[in-house]
Amino acid sequence: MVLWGLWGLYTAAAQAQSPIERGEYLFRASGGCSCHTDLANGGAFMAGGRAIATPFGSIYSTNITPDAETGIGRWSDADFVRAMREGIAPDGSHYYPVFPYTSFARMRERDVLDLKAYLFSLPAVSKENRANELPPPFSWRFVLSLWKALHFSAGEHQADASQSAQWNRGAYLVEALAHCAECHTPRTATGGLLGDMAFAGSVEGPEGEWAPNITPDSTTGVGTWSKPDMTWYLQTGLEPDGDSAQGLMWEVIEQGYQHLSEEDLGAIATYLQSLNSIENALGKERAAAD
Amino acid sequence: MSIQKTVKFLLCCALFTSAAVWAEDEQSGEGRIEYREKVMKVLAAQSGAVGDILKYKLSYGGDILVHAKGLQAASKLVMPSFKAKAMKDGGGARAEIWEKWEEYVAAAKVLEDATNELVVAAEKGDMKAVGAAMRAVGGSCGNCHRPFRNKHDHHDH
Repeated sequence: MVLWGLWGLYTAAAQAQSPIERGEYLFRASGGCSCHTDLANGGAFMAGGRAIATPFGSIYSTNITPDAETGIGRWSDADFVRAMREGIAPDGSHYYPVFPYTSFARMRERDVLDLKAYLFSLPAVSKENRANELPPPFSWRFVLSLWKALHFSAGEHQADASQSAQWNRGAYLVEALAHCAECHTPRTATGGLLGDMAFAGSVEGPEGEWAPNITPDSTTGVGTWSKPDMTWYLQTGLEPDGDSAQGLMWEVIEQGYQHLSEEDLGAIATYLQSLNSIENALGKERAAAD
Repeated sequence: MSIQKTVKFLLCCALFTSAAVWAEDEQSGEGRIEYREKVMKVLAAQSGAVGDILKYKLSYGGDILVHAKGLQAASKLVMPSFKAKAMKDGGGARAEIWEKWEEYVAAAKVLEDATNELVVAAEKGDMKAVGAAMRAVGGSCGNCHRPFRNKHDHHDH
């Protein structure tokens, strides 16, 4: 109870901010939504068009600027909340889970609306969304309702009263906003997350990149990393040995996590260190996959 | 031939032979990759040392300037160490370094600029500025590695 009280004092400052300011912080906590900017081709901020390679084909990120015609400018609060927490577009169609609503579903509604306030404060960019390049049956969106029945569960993140306030904050950040599991957990043949291998790394991360094991396993995970190591890494992209973050991980650090408070980064580290330790050497996984 | 002339002749031969061997090594690239890797390790070690002082709040704050200057000096070796193309199977360097040389040089320059800023911050003893400069150093590493380095197969993050 005392811990919750202290955390309340800490979060009081955040609550004093405007919805747009809070939304910007949440935007950073989500990794800066970097998939929605086509950085490699000089695309406009959040205007989409970035190709995201998946084992099923290429999916292009969408324009989430407040442009009324090509972006999300006409979306109501309810539309935005439904998209984020249920993966359903305003026209009723299902989103592909490359948009990580499977994690964002855990967000608190107020946080979702603050995020919308921030996105709606951005310059509107007129840019049509690009059609995905997926072969049937993956191009049939109705198939996604079946996928959801298998792999998606709605519901806001629930705090664990037996854990500290810092742990709970870290759990919320990792599981909901930062959506770490989406890249760092291997997937089943049908693209669902392998629950018993949560955070144990994947050779089929976004854009074909490896996403390493971030469980506390000392040989294949981050078990040798201290809490300050993790915080420093999320602030600078520099690993304990001085090497640097690669690929998409660097993008989400640069666009997102490095802007978080030291307290929140410490909370993330606390939660990650409490995960089940799973031995999973990605090299072996890749050899098996090949 | 006098002894003096003989010595001069032998010295010239030795110099010529050394130059020829040197040129051959330069052409084959032997040792070049190993050298580059050492330059990178120096950078990693110096930035790792600054990181340790900051993240653990160690009482070596005054030493940050030494490491910052080390980083600054090593950063200037990065671009020259890649001038001649040398790659190996499973190595880190991608062909794009030489195919897009101007872009690579620009990326390497960002690192140099970031380490210059780090030295300025360290000279002032401004730890907040040092932290910000280290974020820029980390950023310059990531921004160069993404287009120009193969993802390594070991436990990478």
